[in-house]
Amino acid sequence: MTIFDDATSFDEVGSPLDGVAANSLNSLTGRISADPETVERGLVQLVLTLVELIRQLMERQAVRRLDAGAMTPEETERVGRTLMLLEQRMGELRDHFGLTPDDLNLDLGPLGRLL
Amino acid sequence: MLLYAVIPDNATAPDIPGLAGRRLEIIRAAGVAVIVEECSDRFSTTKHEAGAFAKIVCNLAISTSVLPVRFPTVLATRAAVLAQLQAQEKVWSQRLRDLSGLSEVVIRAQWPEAESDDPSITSGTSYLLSRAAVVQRQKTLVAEIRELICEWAREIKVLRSQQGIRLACLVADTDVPPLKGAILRWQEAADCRQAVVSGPWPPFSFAVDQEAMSP
Repeated sequence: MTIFDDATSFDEVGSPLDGVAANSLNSLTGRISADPETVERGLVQLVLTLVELIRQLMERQAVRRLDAGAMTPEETERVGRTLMLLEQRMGELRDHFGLTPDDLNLDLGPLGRLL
Repeated sequence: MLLYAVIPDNATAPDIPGLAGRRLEIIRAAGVAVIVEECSDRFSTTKHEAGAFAKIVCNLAISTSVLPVRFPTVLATRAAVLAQLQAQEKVWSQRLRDLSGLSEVVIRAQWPEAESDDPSITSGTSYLLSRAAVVQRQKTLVAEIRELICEWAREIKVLRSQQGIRLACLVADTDVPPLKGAILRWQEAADCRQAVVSGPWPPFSFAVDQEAMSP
């Protein structure tokens, strides 16, 4: 087990680094970069983030319905297959545009991060 | 003006440079103050810059209670900073009192997890069952660790995590060693358990008084 006593060890895994930028007393400086050289990639990133949000919401709802016994075996197979294929497709699209799973997120200021 | 942290109004400015290399200053209002750095630069929210900002806040927290401000919060003028201080004075001074002597500890725990391209996942049903199993394992793990640390943790938040779970715990400075010891013993009790504990940190995840998130 690793215990970091050194308060300079900042990494996403062990530290509250996401809280540094995503948790706030106020959020007054949110800006959208409209740099012509990066706007296309930024737009793709935004669209894929929203698709990923919807995919995750669908998956959570499906898991809740499964746990509640509210799906027939046929529904479970159909919904599960749809979500599985969607996840695979999202991975392909991320690779195509050179994005990582961590890139598909939005800082919502005082609300924290989207995903 | 780049804002770093809200502090008690009787605190003194540390003699350390900020992100822009200028000296940190204090702007005070009745009962509360904020540490700022005069700068005209725009800061990007890269992990490197956020980490550098966090280190400065950690240094500030050595000598005084702090409410970390989200990076990069920039206000145009001293008057704007003062207006924010005056508007939030009651809330921030109360939260400063609440967090006095407390630090944040982050616990990450995980288990060997099936990859999404696991060859055993060949159907929609097996995919959905594997997802349900992950959710169930997360809930169980959160409950287990909550139970383990409830003796020391004043507040617990479940942080977002791509793998395993991450818990931010607000603990008294004197309770950090026993909490870490409890997690270490918990991990050593079973081979499959993996845990990382970091801290103590300034209360980055608890600066705003929110109800602890439930898993």
